[in-house]
Amino acid sequence: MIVGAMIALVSLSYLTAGAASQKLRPGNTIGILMLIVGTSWTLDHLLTDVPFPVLLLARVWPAILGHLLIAYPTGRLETPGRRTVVAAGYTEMLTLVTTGYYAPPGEHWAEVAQSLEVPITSLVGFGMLSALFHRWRTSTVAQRRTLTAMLGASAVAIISFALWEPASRTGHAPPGIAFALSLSSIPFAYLTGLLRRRFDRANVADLVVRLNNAEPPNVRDALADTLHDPTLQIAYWVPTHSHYVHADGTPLHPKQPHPTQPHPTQTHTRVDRAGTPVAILLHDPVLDSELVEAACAAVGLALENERLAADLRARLRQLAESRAKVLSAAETERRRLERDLHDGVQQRLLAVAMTLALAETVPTHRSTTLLTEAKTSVLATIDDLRALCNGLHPPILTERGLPGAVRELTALTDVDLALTLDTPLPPEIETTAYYVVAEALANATKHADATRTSVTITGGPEELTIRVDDNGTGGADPSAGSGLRGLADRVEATGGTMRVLSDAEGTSVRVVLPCGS
Amino acid sequence: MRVVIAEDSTLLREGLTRLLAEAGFQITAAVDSAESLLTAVGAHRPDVAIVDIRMPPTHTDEGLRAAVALRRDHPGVGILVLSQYVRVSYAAELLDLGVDGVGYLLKDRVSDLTEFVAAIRRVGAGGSAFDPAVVGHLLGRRRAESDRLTERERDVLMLMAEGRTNQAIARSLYITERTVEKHCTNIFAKLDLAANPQDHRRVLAVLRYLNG
Repeated sequence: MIVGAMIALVSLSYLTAGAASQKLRPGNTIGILMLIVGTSWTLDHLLTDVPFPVLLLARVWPAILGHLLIAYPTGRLETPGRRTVVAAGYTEMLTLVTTGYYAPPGEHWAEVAQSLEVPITSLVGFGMLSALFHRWRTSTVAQRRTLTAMLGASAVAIISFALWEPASRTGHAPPGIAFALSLSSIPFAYLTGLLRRRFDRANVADLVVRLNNAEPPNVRDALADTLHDPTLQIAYWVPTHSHYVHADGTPLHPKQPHPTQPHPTQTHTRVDRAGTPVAILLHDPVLDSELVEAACAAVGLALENERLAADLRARLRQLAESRAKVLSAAETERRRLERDLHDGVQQRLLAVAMTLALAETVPTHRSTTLLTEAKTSVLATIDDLRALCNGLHPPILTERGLPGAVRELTALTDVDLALTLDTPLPPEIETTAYYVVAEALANATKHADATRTSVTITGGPEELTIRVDDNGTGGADPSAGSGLRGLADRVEATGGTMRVLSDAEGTSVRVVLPCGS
Repeated sequence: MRVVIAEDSTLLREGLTRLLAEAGFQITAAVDSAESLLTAVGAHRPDVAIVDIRMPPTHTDEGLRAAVALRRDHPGVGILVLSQYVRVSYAAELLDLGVDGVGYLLKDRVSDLTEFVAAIRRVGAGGSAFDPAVVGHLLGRRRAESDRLTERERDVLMLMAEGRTNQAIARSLYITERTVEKHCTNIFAKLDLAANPQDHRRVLAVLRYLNG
């Protein structure tokens, strides 16, 4: 009676799990394998004295079960090792059933074959256990969540199966109930995994409540918990630079999935709100994409808030970096200046003083030459000083402000200049703007062979926009360490932004500088 | 010739005063701001006002603005603007005042007393004196047109644009005045300039053309 109930329990559990799997995941072969195991097991325990094909079907369930366990959860046998161990299981079953059916009793080779059952079963069982253990070890935390229960049940079932035969031969057969329970724990574990996705959906609703209660709300931790993926990362969109940054503002460098690796360890899901990107989630590919999207929708507002914070942090970080570069550039510049003044101007003036001292002592007809020499030296010094002053701060800016300075810059070239500037600018913004125009114009004429250039400067109450377009050969790249890079640092140090669009059609340098108080 | 000097650097102001007095000019006033320049010119009616561009109170372009005011209030007074830097846009603004009695020179030119004195006398006499560096900038801009000129014609054009007379050009290039006149006629023809190459207003025509 108990034995019958046990047999029925195993049959029912496999058939039910198989049917449920077919309904919930129709494309997955695990469901079919479950159904076959259930059927085969039932036939094996109900029928005796059947023709060979039926016998084969009835006896094949351990091999099918092995196949199922190795193929879990995708239903596919993905590596040669897994295929080998599954094939070994089938071969063993086929051999045993065939020899058991066709060989006359007492035949020597058949007995040998039958006596090999235990060692071969142990070997195949060991192979399957190794495959499962390897699978568990190489899986991610999120994968383990569904794998662990199933693999644990599988291991118990495989060990009990391998030990059953030798144990019963020595007369120490464990109670059938233990074996039946260990076998039926597999479909139960499988069903739990299937249904867990349903429970996860319910958890998404708790996310919002959780975020509201947390102080400060941590979207990443909440999402990682709800989706059961501790490796989950969120990167936020920064529209001014068209790239994603981490919550601390550092730019995201997406890891390229390795081409030889069949399962990239991370995939990403983009989160948009009202058509504009907000963030991307980097997460385990095993996560149910519908679940991820539902979770993202639930925390949409919190994500948007975090995005603003990350955007701010990215700006601060960039500002700090640019400031540091500008400071160090200023320091270098001061050193150069000191050297130029010391080696150039001071030495020259000393030489002039000496020449003049000499002129005082020599007869008049010789002093004239010395005086001319001194004058030439002084004029050269004036030239040096003029160049130095120009490098320090463009004198025209002091004299005429940005409009006059830009007019002087464009006075000698055919540049379309459109200048709308009503309010006076803060000095550092004026200087930065001047260098933007000067550098962009220099690039256009020197490097890009432009024949048409336009400069547009528009001052508003909050910001000053500068645009320099040319029809040259392009090739301007701020990241390539040209003068444009230093310019970008300068612009960013004021809290402004600079974008350079450059292709074969020409170059467009677009700068926005803050000029409000 | 009577001169008023406006220069805020004491050293330079004293130096200029000494230099010009030595060269035979009568320095009627030497002041240190644009405001006192206007007063001094009103009081002394000099032939030339020599004006520094950067002066108090803002040390920006006071001198240029004073030049505009001088031309408006005292059109007969020649104005020679001195600057530490070559600015094409400043030259253009001065050109808007006309070229009669207008000059724009780098301060460096004080080192050649003969040339400097000649420039002041030209401006005082109603002529013009534009710095060779400014003219060179303008000429560099019109490369396509100036390429049509011969080297000698370019030399003549430069000196003409500086405001020199044919006689001075001839002396400086060691050629005869007649040759200078011939070059001038060629230049005006090649550049398609309508003005009479012998007219004293030719400088304006040339500079406006170059700056156009």
